Amino acid sequence: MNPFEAFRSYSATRRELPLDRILARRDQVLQRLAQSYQALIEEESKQLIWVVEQGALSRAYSTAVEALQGVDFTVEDLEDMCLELDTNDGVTTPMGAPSGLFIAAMCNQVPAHDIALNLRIFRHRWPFLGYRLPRGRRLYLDGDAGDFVGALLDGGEVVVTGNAGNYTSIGMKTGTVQIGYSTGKYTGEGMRGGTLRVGGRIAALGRAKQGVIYEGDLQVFPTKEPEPSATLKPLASAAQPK
Amino acid sequence: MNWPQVLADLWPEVRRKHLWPELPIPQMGTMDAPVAMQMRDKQITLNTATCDELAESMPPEAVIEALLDHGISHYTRCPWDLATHLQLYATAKAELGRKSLARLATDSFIDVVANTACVKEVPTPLPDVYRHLGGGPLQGALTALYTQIWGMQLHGSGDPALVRRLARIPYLDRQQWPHSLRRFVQLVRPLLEEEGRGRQPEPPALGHHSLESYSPAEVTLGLQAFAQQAQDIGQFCDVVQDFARELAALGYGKEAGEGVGPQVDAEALYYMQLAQSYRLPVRGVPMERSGVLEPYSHAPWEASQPVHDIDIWTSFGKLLPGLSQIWKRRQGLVYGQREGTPDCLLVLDSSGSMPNPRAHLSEAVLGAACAAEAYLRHAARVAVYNFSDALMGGKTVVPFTTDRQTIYEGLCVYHGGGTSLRLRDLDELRRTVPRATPDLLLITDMQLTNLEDVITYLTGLEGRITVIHIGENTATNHFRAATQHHPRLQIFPVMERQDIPKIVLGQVRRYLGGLQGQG
Repeated sequence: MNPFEAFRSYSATRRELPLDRILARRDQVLQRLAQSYQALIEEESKQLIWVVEQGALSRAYSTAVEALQGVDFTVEDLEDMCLELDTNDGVTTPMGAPSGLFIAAMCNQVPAHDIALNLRIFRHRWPFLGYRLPRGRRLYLDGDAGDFVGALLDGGEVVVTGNAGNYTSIGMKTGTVQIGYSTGKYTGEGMRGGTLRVGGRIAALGRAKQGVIYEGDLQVFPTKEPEPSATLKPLASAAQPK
Repeated sequence: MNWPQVLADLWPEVRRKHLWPELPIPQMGTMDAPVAMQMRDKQITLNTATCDELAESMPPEAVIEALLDHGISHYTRCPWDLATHLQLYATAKAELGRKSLARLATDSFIDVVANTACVKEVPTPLPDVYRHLGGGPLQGALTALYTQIWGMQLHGSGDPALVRRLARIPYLDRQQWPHSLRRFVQLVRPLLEEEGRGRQPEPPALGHHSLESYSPAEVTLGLQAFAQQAQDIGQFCDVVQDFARELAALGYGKEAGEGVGPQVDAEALYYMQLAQSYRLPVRGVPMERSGVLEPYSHAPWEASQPVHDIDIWTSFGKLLPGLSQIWKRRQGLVYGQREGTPDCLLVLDSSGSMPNPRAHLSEAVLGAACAAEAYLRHAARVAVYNFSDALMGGKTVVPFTTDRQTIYEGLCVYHGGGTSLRLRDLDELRRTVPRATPDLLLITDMQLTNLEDVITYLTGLEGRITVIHIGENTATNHFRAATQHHPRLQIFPVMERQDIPKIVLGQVRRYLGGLQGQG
C-alpha cells in the first residue's frame, strides 16, 4: 500500500499582472540605458586624464547622445537610471562629470517637455545638469544642484529649488536659469545670452559676456545705474514748527 | 448577519487556498479603531462593523474571504517575520524621521506587497474590497496604484504621474524590499505628510501591523535576527524604542506606570539579542572516579566465583558454570566535589579607554554578554563587577543572580574615567557565592593603574580565570608574560567582533596542551 497515495502534486496558478509587464519593460530599458552609459564610460576612459574643458565636454556629450540613439525611454526611466547611477556610480567616474553629462543627454533626448528630478534623494551631486537643454524643455531640479548647472543652455529653462555650485550657467546661450537660493563662484562665466536669476546670494560673479543676471531683485549684470531717488521733501506737518 | 457562521464555513476553503497556514480559526469582534481587522499572537479578528459596512456593497462571503486573504497574506508573504518587519520599518524611519509616518509608510508598503502577492497567486475577491473602501489621499493613491498594477478598475484617485512611478517598484521581489520601500517612501512622502499634518495619521483601512501580531517566540527570534541585521546599535535602539509599548507588554521592559511611559532598555536588549548568536562553550569541571563498583558487562560464571554476582535474567534461571552469566564490575564515573558548571564573576572594565556600549558596539560588553549567556545556559549564576576607577567609587556591582535583565543592565553601565580595580570588592563578592569557587572572567584593555596588584591577586586566586583583553598594548604583553605559567589562567585577545567565538570559558591550560605544543 502506498502511504502517500492521497498526496497530489500541486502547482499554484499564478496570474500574470500588468505589474509584471511594467517591470519587464522597465528592466529592459534600464539595461539598455546602462549599456549606453557603459559605452560612454569606456569611450571616456580612453582619456587618461579627464579634464573639464570645452573639447572634452563636447566629445563626451556627443558620445552620450550617440549611445542613447535608439533607446526608447521615458521620464520615469530617466529617474530610475539616475537612481541606478546614484547607487553604482563613484568607482568608474570619481569626478561624476561623465555621469552628469549622461543625465543631461538623457534630459535632452527624452520625449518630454517637463522633466523633474528630486535631487534630495540622491547621494551624488552631479555636475552639468541642464547642459545644452534645448528650447521648449523645462528641467525642474528639487534640491541642491552641483557645479556647471545650466552650462551652454540652449533655450531651455532650468529651475533649481535649492542652491547651485560653481560655474552656474557657464557659457549659456539663451534660455532661463532660476536658482532658488545661492550660487558659488564664477556664476555666469562666459554667458552669451539668456537670463540667470539667483534668489539668494552669488558668491562671485564670473566674466559674463552677454545676457542678464539677477541677484534677488537686483540686476547685477549688466550693472544698472541706480535710479535717481526722488527729492525728499519734509512733511508739511514736520516742517511747520508749532 | 451571522458572521461567525459565514467565517466558520469559509475558513477551510481559505486555508486550503493558502496551503494551510498555521493559524488559529479567525474570529469576529468589535474594535475601537476604524480598521477592518487585527492580528494578535497570530489570531485574526475581523471587525464586525467594517464587515457590515462592506456587506452593503458586496456579498458577505466575499467580504470575509477577501479580509481573510489579506490577513493570511501578511502571515505567509509580507512581512513574513518580525525581523523583516523591523528592517522595513528601520528603512522607512531613516527616510522619514517621524515615528508615526514611518509606521504608516511601512504598513502601506506591506499592504501593497501582501495584496499584490495574494492577487497574483490565488483567486480572491480582495480587489472588490478596495473598490468599496474609502480613505484619505494616500489610500486613494494606493487604490489607483492597484488599478494600474492589477489591471482592474478600482476607482482610486491619485496623481497619474505618481501612480506611474509607484507602479515601477518591484513589490514582489523580496530581495529588493528595503530598496523598494525607500523608493515608495520618497514617492508618497507628500501624501504621508498630509496624512500626519498636526495629528496622528489614521491607520490603513484594513488595519495596521504591530508587534502584537507575532507570537512571543517569533518576537524573540525576530529581535535576534534584527540585532544581527541592524547597521549599528543606534539603529536597533531607535527602532526598539519606537515599539517600546508592545515590547514592554511582551516582557522586554517595564510597562507604563503612573506618569511614566513604557521603558525598554534598548541597548541592553541589543547586547542580549546579539549574544544569542555566539554560543561560547564552557568547559565542565573534570569528572572523578567515585570508587564505587558498578555492573558493566557480562562474563560466563565459573564455579570458583561467588554466586551473588550472577545475573539471573541472562542465566535462564540455571546455575551452571559456562552457561550462567556473572556481572563484571567496573569503577563508576561521577562528578567530584563541584558538579556541573560553576558560577561566574564577570569583571568588566568600563573606564574612559573603553568604548561606551550605549553609543557604539562594545566588544567588551558583547564578550561579557556572551559569557553570561554561556553560564546562564548551564544554570549557573552570574555576578557583575563593572568598574572604572573603583577606588573612587566608579563601580556597579550585581550580586550572583540568574536574572538576565539585571545582569545586562549591569553590563551596559558606562562609568568612564580612570581604571583601577578594588580587589577587596572581588573578594567580598566571591565570598557570597552559594556554591563552590566561581570562575572569574576579566574583560579589560589592561590599562589598570594597579595592574601589578591585579596580577598578584589573580595568580593567587583559586578557581579558573579567563582574561579577555581588548586591543594590544605594553600592559597586555606584561600581563601575558607575568601569568604565562599560571595553570588555570587563560588569556584571549579580542580585536574585533569575529574574535569572540574563539573564546572558551573556564578553559584550563592543560586541555590545550596539544594545541600549545603545536603552537
